[in-house]
Amino acid sequence: MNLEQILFDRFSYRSFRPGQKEVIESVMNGHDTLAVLPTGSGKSLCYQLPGIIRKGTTLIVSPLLSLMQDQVEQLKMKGEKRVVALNSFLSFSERNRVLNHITDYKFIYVSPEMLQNEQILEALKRLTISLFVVDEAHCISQWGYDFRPDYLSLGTIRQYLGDPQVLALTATARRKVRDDIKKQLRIRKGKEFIFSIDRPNIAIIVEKLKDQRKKQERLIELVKLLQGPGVIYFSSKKMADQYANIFQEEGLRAASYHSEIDQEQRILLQQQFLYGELELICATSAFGMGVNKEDIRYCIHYHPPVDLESYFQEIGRAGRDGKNSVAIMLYSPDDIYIQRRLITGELPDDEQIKQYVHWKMNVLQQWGENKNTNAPEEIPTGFTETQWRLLEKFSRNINDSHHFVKEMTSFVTERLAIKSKLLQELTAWIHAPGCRRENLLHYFEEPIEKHVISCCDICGVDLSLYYLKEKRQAMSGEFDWKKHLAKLFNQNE
Amino acid sequence: MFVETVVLACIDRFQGERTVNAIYYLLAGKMSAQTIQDVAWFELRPYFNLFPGLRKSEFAEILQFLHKQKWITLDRKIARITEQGENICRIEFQRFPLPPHFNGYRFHKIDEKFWSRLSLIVQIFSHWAHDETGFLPVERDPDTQWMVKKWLFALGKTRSRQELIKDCYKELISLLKMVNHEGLNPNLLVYRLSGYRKPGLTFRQLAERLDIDEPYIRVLFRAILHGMILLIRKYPKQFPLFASLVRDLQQPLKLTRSTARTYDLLKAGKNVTEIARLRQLKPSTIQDHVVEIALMDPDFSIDPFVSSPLQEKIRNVLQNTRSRKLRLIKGYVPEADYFSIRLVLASRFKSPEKNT
Repeated sequence: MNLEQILFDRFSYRSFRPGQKEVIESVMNGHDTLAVLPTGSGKSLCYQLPGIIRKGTTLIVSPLLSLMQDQVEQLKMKGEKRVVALNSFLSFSERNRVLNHITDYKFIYVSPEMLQNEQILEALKRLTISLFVVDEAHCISQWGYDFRPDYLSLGTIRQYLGDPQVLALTATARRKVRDDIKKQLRIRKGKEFIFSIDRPNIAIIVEKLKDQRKKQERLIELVKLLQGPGVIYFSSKKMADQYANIFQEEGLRAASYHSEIDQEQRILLQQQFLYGELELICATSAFGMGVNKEDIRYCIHYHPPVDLESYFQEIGRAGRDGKNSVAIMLYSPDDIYIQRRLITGELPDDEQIKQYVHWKMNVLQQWGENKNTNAPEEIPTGFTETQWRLLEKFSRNINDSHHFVKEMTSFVTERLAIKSKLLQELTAWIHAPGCRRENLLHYFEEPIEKHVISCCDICGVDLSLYYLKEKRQAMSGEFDWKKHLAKLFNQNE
Repeated sequence: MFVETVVLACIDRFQGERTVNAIYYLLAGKMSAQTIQDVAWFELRPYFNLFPGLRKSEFAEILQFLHKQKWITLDRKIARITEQGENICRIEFQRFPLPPHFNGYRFHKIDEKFWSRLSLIVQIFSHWAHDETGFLPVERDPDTQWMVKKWLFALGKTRSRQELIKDCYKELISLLKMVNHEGLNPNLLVYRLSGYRKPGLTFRQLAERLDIDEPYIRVLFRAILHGMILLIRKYPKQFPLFASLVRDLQQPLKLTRSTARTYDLLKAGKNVTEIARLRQLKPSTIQDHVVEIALMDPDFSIDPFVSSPLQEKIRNVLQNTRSRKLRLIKGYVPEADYFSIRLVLASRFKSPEKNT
């Protein structure tokens, strides 16, 4: 079998990107496989190609709903229509329709939350699963970024589904995380592929500034200077909104992007950015995954993220086309308070746990054990969504509230310890002497191989390389619906 | 300011006879008998489901704001409008009136479905028109994708792609011209559509470009959809493509199970007393059911239950008093029983009447 031929016939690519072929061959040979491939390297091809030519169903566990939807649509675009996403976007009737016809699908994307549902597991059990793909596999480890407790049950679920072959994919995984992945997914004898995650075309810069005010000034200055398209990461939705407005007033085609914007609008923003109608996105960490934009020229962190894994993922969205790009982090000493708040904000504190138990006990008294009636219409004030979800997860089999409080508290304590450690490592990196790239790669347990010319602010970077080259386009002009409609339909007005 | 203005108007209508929660459910479009009854009784039809995504926390903030401005008074869960509030409300509505055709009750969820279909077919036709078949749909709802696929398949048997594109374009243009003629701005719809290499604008972007409140933009946008659906249904021969696109978009009747059973018996020709006996329920319970039916079903006539002259009389009273306390109303028409008054109140919701 000629893999290149299949690649061309089904995906219209002439050649594999680094790493893809090795991973695909390993999968085709029936090995459990763990692959660490850099972002933007075409990870999904590693299961899509085997899935298309092999018998049976490919089950893909993916944590991000929007990403899932994107991949479903992309597969459909390539002519594979037997593909579906099982997630909370599906209405009850749609879900039933899919489950009744589950054997018709060749690719099934599923969120880890959905795998906790017995009806869905029952349906999946009826399938012959040829490959059990765990995307963003680092979510399984407390030491990976974006740890998701629901991932912890994937090993048991794999077993329940008859121990299908596993492919675990991730873009960042240190030894500790890889070991966790293998242990949790019960990979005993498997193949491991680790490819260099370095992105030599991205210059890494950290600018230290005195306070938030100075940062603000510098940000506005930078955005005016730099050649777009660009992304700026903020730690809060409100700031993303505020700055998007500021930049619009400066005449830039900017927009904000975060989780409070509904799905339809988010897709529109992604597409506008993709087609160059927007040149700047002011985002929270909700932005990125599934945005296949190749030519992002700069990425600015207005606030540093909470760990180096997140940082690396986020700057990795720049320069997918291999051209020169720059990542700039603006740092001031008081950022540490914002970061601390980000860390603690995801986890419920003692008071919130108490409040939750009180609420839960009331509900149980009213409704009995019936699980479906417990969910409140809206997350009660005083809780974030992440906090609430976590509490709900831990209370699934709540019958002893003391036991629950104890378990929840010890979980929170452990998470806080780990997150503080990861934050310390990020802060250490910011202040460390020596080449930033080398230090970053060292953190990911990778030696630096080649000398990079525009490397980092320590090695020296000429920032003017990244300055504006084209004249800025203005916002589009007046509205004329007849003209616009004629254009859409390619008709004469 | 638009949401704030609407909240003021609702507080004004309720006259302190309902809690603020009732206003929230009304604006968020909760399809419950209680909310629908409030809508009918207090003539709040134009406001129902104006802001479907409104969060409780946002609503609470708005109340706080209105209170702080001294436009309302708040006592526990009861709000009342102040004189200042009335002025603001009037001025703001002059600047940003409720758009014509908007009917959040009648098109509950239907407008959403219609928009997903419309935006998907335009995206498909736009790509076809530019000889491009593969693209990422903006519309991700599987039901919509499935429906549109079937729709296109059926139409494909009758004409070529080019003809289909042209027909759709023509229908859309003349629909929008008619909508435009009735005072709605088609730009708000057309620029939201996505096509070949042209993603639509978000509501926020439209709001910024036109310098209008985003919630108001959303309402104007939905009013265009409502206007379009009305026109399509009125002139199906003129818009055959769109007529086939909206044909199955019907509001399911949302009745409680017991009421549905009563309705079946009513349709079978039984009267209230007979149904009560048959079902071994109290006549007053059956009366409650009839009121619920009158509220929920726009095609239900109350004529068999209340004589026309009495209906007329009760309506007159309702027009002249703002209170919705049944006892008070009965004071003005002693010959009417509570059942008749409630039925007239319920049916008022459907009769075409002035917007605000």
